[in-house]
Amino acid sequence: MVTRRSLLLAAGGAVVLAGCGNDDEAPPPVPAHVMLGQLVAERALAHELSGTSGLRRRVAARSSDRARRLASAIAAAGGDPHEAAEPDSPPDPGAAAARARAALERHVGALPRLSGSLRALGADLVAGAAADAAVLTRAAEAFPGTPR
Amino acid sequence: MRRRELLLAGTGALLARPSAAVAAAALDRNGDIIKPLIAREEAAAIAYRGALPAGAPPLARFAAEHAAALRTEFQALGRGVAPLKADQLDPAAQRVAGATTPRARLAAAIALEADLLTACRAAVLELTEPGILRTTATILAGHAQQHALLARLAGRDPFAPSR
Repeated sequence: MVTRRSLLLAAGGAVVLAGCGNDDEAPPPVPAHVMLGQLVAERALAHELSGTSGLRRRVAARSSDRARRLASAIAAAGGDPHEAAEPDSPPDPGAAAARARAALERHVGALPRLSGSLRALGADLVAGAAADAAVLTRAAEAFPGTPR
Repeated sequence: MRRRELLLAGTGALLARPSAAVAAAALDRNGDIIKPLIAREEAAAIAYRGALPAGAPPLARFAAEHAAALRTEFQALGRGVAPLKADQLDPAAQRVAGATTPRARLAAAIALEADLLTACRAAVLELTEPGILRTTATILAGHAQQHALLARLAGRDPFAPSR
């Protein structure tokens, strides 16, 4: 019963999302819309780590690479990657771990809405963002990635 | 009026039956996909019971939590499977359990995490039920994190491809 209900809720959510947006402007297709949220999260992570060195610099490069892959996929899915807002605050490396966890949550949450090659991309984004979150997270913090 | 209602009800039942059967088959397929993952996580939980080098995450506990989460999803589909026994470990878990030094154990754990990551990724590509997919994706993330942390602990590149 719960499973069927969640399926129905997911389908209902897709219908509601499809109906969102301005009447004059067609909303982006659902996968593109979902990936725009993922792109915003990755850009935020890369931004916080801009100008850093060592391992953090590598994480920034990995995040930028994920953002590039997302931008290409959004364009291919009929969306406009420029709709993903760029951060306008100064970089804050101390916020990077939280940004990485936020990106990871975005990627996990997006998966049910992605299929085919986009699902494969989504799985890679989950794995990549998870590794980044792990090296940015202090041992004392809660270990992310365990189902609650 | 009554005849019309009966005809409508009959038509509705005919239309609903194939779609219900398709949905049930899809859910059954989701169960088939996660069933081997339950065994893999339970095997990891058993294999990780021994000591790991200082700084390693509590891998046995995490694997047991992953197995429990997958079992919950499996049971929600009306299915069940017996818990894995210690003599039923898969080869990668056996190598962790059989490692005789902390260094060998760490290397085997890195390989096991890479293997579990690959298994979860393959499942994520096929799952269709959103709740099961999210649970499995979260477990995939957990293994990606554990792989990176263990690789770093071993003095390796935490971002080196797991395969």
